[in-house]
Amino acid sequence: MIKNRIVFLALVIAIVIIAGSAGAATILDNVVEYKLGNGMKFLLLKRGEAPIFTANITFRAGAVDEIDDEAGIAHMVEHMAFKGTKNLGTTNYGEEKKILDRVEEVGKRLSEEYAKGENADQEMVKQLREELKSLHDEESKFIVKDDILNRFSNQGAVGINAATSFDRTSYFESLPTDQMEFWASLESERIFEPVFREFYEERDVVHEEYRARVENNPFGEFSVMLVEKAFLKSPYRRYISGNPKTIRQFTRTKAERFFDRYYDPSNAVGAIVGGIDIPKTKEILNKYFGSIKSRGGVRRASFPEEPMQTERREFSLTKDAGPLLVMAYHKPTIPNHDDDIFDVISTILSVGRTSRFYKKLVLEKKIVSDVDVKSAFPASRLPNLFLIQAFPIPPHTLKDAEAEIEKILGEMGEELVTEEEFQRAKTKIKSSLIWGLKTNSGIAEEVSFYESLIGDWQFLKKYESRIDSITREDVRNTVKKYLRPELATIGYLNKLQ
Amino acid sequence: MTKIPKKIIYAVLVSLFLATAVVIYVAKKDFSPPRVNKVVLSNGIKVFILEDHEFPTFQLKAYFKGGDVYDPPDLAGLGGMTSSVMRSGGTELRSPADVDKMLEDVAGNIELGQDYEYSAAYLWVLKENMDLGLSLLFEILKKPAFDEERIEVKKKKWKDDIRRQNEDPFEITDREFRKVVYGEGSPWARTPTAESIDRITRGELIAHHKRFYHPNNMWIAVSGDFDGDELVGKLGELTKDWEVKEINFPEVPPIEKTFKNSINFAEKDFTQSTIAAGHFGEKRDNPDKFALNVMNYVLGEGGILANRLTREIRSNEGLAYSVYSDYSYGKDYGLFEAEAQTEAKNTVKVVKRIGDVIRGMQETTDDLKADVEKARTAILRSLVFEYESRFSITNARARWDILGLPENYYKVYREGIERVTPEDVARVAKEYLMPDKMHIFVVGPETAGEELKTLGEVKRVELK
Repeated sequence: MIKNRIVFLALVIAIVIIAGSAGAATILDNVVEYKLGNGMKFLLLKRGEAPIFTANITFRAGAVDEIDDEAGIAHMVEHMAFKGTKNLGTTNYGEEKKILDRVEEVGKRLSEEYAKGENADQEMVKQLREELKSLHDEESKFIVKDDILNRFSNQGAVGINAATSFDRTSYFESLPTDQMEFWASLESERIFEPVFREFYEERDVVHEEYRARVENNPFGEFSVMLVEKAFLKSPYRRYISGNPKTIRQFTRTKAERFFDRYYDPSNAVGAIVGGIDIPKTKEILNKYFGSIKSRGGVRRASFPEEPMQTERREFSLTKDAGPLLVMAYHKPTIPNHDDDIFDVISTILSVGRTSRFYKKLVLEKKIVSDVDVKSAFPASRLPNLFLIQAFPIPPHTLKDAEAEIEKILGEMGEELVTEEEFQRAKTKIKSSLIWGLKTNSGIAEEVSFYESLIGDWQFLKKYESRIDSITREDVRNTVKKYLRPELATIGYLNKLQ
Repeated sequence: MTKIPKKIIYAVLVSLFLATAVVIYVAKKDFSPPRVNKVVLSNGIKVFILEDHEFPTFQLKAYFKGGDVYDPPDLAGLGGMTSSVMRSGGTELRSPADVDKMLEDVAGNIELGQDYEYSAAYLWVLKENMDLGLSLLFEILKKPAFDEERIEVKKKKWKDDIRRQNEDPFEITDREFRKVVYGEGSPWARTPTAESIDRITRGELIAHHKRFYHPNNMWIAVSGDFDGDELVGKLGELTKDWEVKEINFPEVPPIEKTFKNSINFAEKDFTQSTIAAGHFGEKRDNPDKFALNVMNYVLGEGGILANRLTREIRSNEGLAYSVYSDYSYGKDYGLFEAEAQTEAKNTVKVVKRIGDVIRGMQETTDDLKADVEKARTAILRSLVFEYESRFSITNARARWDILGLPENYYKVYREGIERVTPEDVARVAKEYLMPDKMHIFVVGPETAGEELKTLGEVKRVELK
């Protein structure tokens, strides 16, 4: 969900990343696969002239893998990956561990108290929090603050970041090439052998993040409502951030359990792109990542299947923000061919000033200031939503926008799109891959995305022919099949008057 | 396919620029960056060229001196609207719809925008469409038509944006804090209103275009899969009929750099307070700039979480998820700003902490020595990232030229950072940071406003 309405300048760089022309295919042809004995797969690409590289490690573990009572724990674990190990972030792990054990006892009791909800004993809560604080003061004697980040940035790393989504969790940074061994040594240890220190302090930080992204952000709150309405059983109904109830009950033990279950090397994909020496890199990877023991793979829960939506659903929210209209329709996911067709549909509808929504709603009728389409919301591992967002300009209403959008969708489901807009869409889609694969981080992101999602990064190479095979009839039939008013989930964010 | 970024991505230090063949600071490996070729056309356009044959693409960015500060006081938004409608409003040869279609048929993009000092046009196309892209770009720059209907669309959108400008607390804070420091009517802080936008006429857009958009006021950074000499020839051809005219820049009154306390509060029903604290920054020709950059890196460089503000306020006390500082420079005085977001009940606590952390920078302690050493190393080692793409190399070179920086600015910058000592950092922290004379701005719930009164007199800010 867009938090801020920013008209993206790079209209061509659509949400969908598609295979492109010769340029893109050539770049990907040079990707080298390297699988370690423990099942961890690396994708290596030597390119560019500057002696730098971007590394991305992605785990097939995200919010979908959580249980309801632990909503948000995947994200919490991601925060913990920056806290150090037995060797890093501490001056004396032996001494520190004793305190950590005591911290966990108190932390568990605090979580149990929070679990009582309104019946929680506030005095007890206060006391336990004070205990945690004083234990933290004790522990601080042994803590080396932000050791991981400091070490990275001392060696010239930039873009040190991590991201948790519904589908996966990624850790990435860029470094000068001569720091490859340093990177492998640090990254393998801090990701695979973390110590979850300062857990309860960080839990507070995560709670602040929730406040910023959801509680104090009408669009965040609206997104939470959207997934809860559109999904009845799918894990996509459970927002990545968790909620105050679950966040307050996080314990280090729960987080470690999630980590143990999903952060297995066989469940990770690494991508390294830049001015690298491939044979040397392989040696280094084998030395540092190869020695991480697999726990035998991941015991993955089966996801409940989302029942087919058969009736129109609506929800609304009134806030000091908006107005914003969302219209969501269920659709299958990659590698189902309909997912490819939806990329074409979304491009025709919303990419550029010649797109249907822009031409009709912004330029001609001037009833909205912007329309945005996401063809796979909120994520891609499971069947997801085709999502339309529109920003009406008062005095035009949410209903006005809704009616016009449904009209355009109706037309598209009855008549073939013009040859011209069809070809234009395909050109945009193919071109966007070239632009998306021009940087180390772009390439690393794309290959690890597809590899972690469907176990096949080469999907990127096949994409162009998949797009080429789509016909105008496909577009019409797919719109008609999925984008029906009676199958929509509609959300109205009304502006408080 | 939604990817949700969680932390602020560390932007490569903006003030990094590249010169010609220079050996960069990489511990073991020597690397000679590619050479940017500067060509000045007879009509004054300064072109910075760097061929790139790795991808079949073409990227060009054109700059013109003439940003928001030159808007007449009652027509805030004039420059921004001019650049925007230059793109969307068609040309003398082509309707707006035809411009859009021509570009989008080849998945090309031309966008215009501006900041306080400059406006810029950005063109990106696949290489086989270079000629089309260039010809259309210069048509837009030389002969925009400012179609009335597209003006109306732009006005409607902009007014709607303004209607929505108080939804995001960071957007509110950034905007209002500037107004507090510079003054609400200052060209460096004022923002368009629905009224100022309504007042802008097509005639005024045309006049603004005629005033600023001339080849003698243009810089071009270009990179892609082309032949440099051929390209220069094409640029000359495309601009040969473009009038060379001296630019009449409106006078912008110099900023009076004063420091004083103030507490400013805007009420909004959030559960968090978003806080900004700071004052004026410096001018970009100040030789203390290098020390100031190292200082800000240690203090609160956004994106690298291992800085003092984050350490104290986020990691140690869990009070905030976002906390950072920024020290900026301008043609005139820039801005020093520390920002944090915290639960409303911790507002005053965090405000005070920010002051404490700043004071902690003003003495050469052992901690400061260690932090400065780390900061310098980190900055120097990360300079190599300026060479990530050929376009960014040539773009940086063009920007140095506009800003009046030497063509070997990369080297100058590197040496400047190398020379910075912990004593320098403590000195500039003392000389340029005034924790006791800061403007504070907070947007949050009423309780936060009440609490702030314990710090002194609170001025209410109405959010429009």
